[in-house]
Amino acid sequence: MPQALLTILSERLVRLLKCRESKSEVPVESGEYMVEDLLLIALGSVCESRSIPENSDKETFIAVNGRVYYDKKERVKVDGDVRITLFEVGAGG
Amino acid sequence: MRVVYSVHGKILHVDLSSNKVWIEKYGDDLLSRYAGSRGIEAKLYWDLVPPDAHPFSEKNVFFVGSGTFTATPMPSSGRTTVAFKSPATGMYFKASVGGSFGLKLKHNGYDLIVVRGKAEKPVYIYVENDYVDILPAERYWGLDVRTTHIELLRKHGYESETLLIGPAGEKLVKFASVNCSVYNVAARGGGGAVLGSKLVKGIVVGKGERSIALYNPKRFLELAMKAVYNIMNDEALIATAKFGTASATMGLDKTSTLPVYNFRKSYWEHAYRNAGEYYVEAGYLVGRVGCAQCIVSCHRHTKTAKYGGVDTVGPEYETSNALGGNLGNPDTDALIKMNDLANIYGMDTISLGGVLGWFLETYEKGYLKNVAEELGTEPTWGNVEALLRLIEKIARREGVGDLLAEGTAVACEKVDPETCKWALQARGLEHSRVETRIARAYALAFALNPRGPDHLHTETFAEFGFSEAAKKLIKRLTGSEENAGVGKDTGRPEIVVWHEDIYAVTDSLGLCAFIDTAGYAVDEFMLAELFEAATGIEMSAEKLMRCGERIVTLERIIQVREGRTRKDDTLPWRILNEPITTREGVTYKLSKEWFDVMLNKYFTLRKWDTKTGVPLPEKLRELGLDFTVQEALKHLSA
Repeated sequence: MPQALLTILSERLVRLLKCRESKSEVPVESGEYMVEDLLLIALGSVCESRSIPENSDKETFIAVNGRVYYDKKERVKVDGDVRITLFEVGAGG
Repeated sequence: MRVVYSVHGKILHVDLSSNKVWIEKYGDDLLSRYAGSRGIEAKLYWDLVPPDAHPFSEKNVFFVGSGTFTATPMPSSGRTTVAFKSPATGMYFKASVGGSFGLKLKHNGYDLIVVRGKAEKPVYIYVENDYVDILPAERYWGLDVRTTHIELLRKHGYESETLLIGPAGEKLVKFASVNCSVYNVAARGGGGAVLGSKLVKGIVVGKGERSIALYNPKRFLELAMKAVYNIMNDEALIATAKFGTASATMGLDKTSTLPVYNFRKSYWEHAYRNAGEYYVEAGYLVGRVGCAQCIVSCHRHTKTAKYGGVDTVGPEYETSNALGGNLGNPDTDALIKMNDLANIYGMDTISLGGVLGWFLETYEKGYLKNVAEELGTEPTWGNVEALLRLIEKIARREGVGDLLAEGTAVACEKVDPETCKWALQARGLEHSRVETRIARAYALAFALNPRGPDHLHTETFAEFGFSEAAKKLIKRLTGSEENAGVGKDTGRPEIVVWHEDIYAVTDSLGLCAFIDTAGYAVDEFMLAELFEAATGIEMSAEKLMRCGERIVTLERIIQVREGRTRKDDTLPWRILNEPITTREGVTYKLSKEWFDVMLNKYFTLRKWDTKTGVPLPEKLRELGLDFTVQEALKHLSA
């Protein structure tokens, strides 16, 4: 079964979502998912909170397999391991 | 002139035409007026470079200087400044570069080096304490920057440091760079070509045994430690440390200010492939690299096994976008390779991306069709095979590379003036990587910048309001936090003036601009206290910002003397004439009328003539720039 490989690059998000680790792996069945559903599955394996609070939502980015999705209702196909990365807006110059 | 602290008070002059070397001493008079290297270089430029000097003639002068705080305990103080007449813009040009060249220069007992004249054969300049020599460089001529650096360190010792040009500089590529410690690049404006025209491969500074004295070391150390604390707690600098400058990518993409496909779009579905976070996630990042005296370490040590294997430093944000989304290139491995090629050949990645973007669009629109045969592949968006070949050809001026090596402004005129409509340049310099139709403080700053439409003179990053500190700064400058955010016009002239002034001071002190114009760990109040403790020269925040204003005004009058007028305060044709639509469907357009309003307000704030953009005589006198008044009067009456 494919694995959902979650990486949270922001320590603040790790704290906010009450995650035990900033990385996790969880099995996920092949098929088509909305980004928010994939995130729910991935966060569920390691974090107490399964959704990003609304006031942090604007500054948070979700990347799936190397592409950032702004619309969490967008659908992605899972037919192998899927990399999910959470990070916050960077302010590098 | 009295004894100076924090600097050596010594300028090393090297005249390649007469083979002579001498030392000029200066004191607190120059330091108190210009704060340090960038300002002093501008003053020396005024004195030494005649307005009619061709950039490649022996009349042109290359200046390199270390900052006032360099070699002190102040964090982020290892920057080096350079100045020269640019072959790209035909005018005064300055740049700031990281690495540790400036630190080593100071360790050898000098604050600045002035390279004059022209050598008869390839040479390099060697400096070690009191020993200065002009040495033959034929064996290094033609070698890339990395190889030359390694060979020279092998010869002069591994504690030496280099400032070098690559093959592109030797071939007079108009956007050839000057590289310090290989990967720290004074990239813009063609400084590498200026040194190439003088047949100078570079400057090597030895280990050095000189130290500087601080006026009040205890107080300076207290303040420097406060700066360390502030840097370590600044959210923008934390992000920069973790993910590098390319951590800006997604913020710009989200606000639709990320220029892609030669500024035809301002957001991109593959933007993440050019983001610092992706370099970490996908395993390209193997380490962080810092400049001398830096605790942020924003440079990236990256590796890829593809494209023959690359082990390098970078790419920065600007490079990631210029050679990534700008060219429709989502291949991160190729991007790392392209960045490395630009570094070792010694080329500015922003201008390189600009000229390649123009070329791809020109080819797409039916011009230069024979180039496909020359490259062995179609030069289309995202075709990295073609792009890699083009980079090699530009560096060596082979085939179509000879045309592109001239830069976008010249190349478009040669092919067909119609193609200049998508040449993203103004005043001869390719536009930096932010969508100025939407980020309006950047638009005004880019139009006024003596370099051209570029970010490293007036980084108005606060405009985005990405952090709380940025919003607070916008409130301080414009009266309301509401003015933070893109697509807004209110307070833009005020934002630009403050950023120009503090940037000039920051450069002169040898500090990294990230600590006060991208992150906000220090401000002018703290810098003034540091300056006083370092030099013993009485200083206030107001007086220090006045130094910044003096530098900005002097740079303006230098360019007025070289022919700059208000008509030059503009942006590329596409930016001024074509609208841009955001991801959400909102359309933005700049206009001449918008510019007129903004420029008038800016000139009024500066006390420069609104009709001509020439600084007014009373302002010049107020700033102690009396020696420029006659020049101003000449242009005001004209």
